[in-house]
Amino acid sequence: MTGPRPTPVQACRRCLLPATLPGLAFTADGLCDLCAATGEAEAEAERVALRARLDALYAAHRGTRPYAAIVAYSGGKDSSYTLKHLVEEQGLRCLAITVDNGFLSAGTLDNCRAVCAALDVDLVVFTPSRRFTERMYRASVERDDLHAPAAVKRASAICSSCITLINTHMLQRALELRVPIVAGGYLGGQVPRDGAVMTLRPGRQARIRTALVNRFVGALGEGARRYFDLPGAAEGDPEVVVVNPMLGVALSEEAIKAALAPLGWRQPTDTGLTSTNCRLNDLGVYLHSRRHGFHPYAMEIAEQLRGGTISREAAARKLGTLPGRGDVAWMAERIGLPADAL
Amino acid sequence: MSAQTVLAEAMAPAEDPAVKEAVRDRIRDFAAATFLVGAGEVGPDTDLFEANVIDSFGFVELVSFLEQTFGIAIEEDDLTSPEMATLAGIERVVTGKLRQQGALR
Repeated sequence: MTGPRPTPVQACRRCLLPATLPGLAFTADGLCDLCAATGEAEAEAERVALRARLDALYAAHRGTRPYAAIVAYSGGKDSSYTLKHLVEEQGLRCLAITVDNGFLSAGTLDNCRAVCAALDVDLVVFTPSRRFTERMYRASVERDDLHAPAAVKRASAICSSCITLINTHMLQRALELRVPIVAGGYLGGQVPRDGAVMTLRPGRQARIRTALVNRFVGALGEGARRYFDLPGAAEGDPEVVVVNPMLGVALSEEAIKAALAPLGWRQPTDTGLTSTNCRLNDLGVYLHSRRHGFHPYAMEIAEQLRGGTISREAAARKLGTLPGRGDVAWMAERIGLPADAL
Repeated sequence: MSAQTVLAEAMAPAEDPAVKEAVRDRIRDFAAATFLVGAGEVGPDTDLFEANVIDSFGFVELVSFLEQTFGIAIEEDDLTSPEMATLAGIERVVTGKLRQQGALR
């Protein structure tokens, strides 16, 4: 006689990562392997060590160049907080660059201008060809070869393409202007823990970059090269350090928004369920959830739960609240997706 | 075969095949779980970048895994080496460093 069969784990009992997330394993008592590998004390020790490493980096570059850092400034809450942190707390002269992907909320550029004015920061808005970005988003949905398979754990395909274009643009400008630091507002879960500080030397990761450029050029034509390629290595090229300071910060979403309010940052009301800057985000969430069986924000929400910056109830609510077909139909139509893609 | 090669092979201690096998298994298990590639999808000499298995974040995760799991330092030269583009090459990099440390005969 056999006993009752154990109930399959549906989600990690600590961080709510779902069993549908590929590559995840669970312990017998219902913890995912990521939670089992890192306790709260280790996570806090990692944050402390990261902050010390970043402090040393900032100290080495403070005041040494016209701009010490380029901030990939989406206008959302996390990159706004990153900019505030680097300017007010670290004393770095920053250049904020916003990529207008054609779907920014009307309030987003107002937020960018308000925050940069309050912090006395130069702001550049780069608007890539609308025709190109809409084709890129459509290809992101229709093809499964633009991104490595594991990218589905971090973001929707639409977001991954946008992030790749934005990150490349920041590196292009940093190399052009010889700015030593590029800062993003990415959170734990959106980038690997070891992605908090990454040193890029031109040409060093040429094989990865070449493969990436070939994929986008193959899907979107030669015109994609200007958005995804980096200049080849040349003698004397400086290195660029890519940092994501939010991985060292343990603040709730509410605390971040409260810290931004005095700078004039306001929560847009037309950015759907999850974003604080982009009106296309919900289409990515909708398609990703249906295609892969989990919310594309699952990893970052899991990190927030592990870090104690979100309540379990709020996390479950976020993961369980998905946009409907009617919410995203206009976005799909605008990027040229056929109706049956939804 | 040159006289030096014969001499070098005669003097080199035999490698421990069990350790090399363990290294290979750990790397392949990690790649399967992290990069979501099934057994047989990627051969030992497949270029992991060209095959779109590893992106830049994946590479960061790979380097961190190798350093923490095997207690080795992946140096600048390793990062640019074509060896780091294939599973077989990565295994050679790891076993080479373990051998330098005396952890592998």
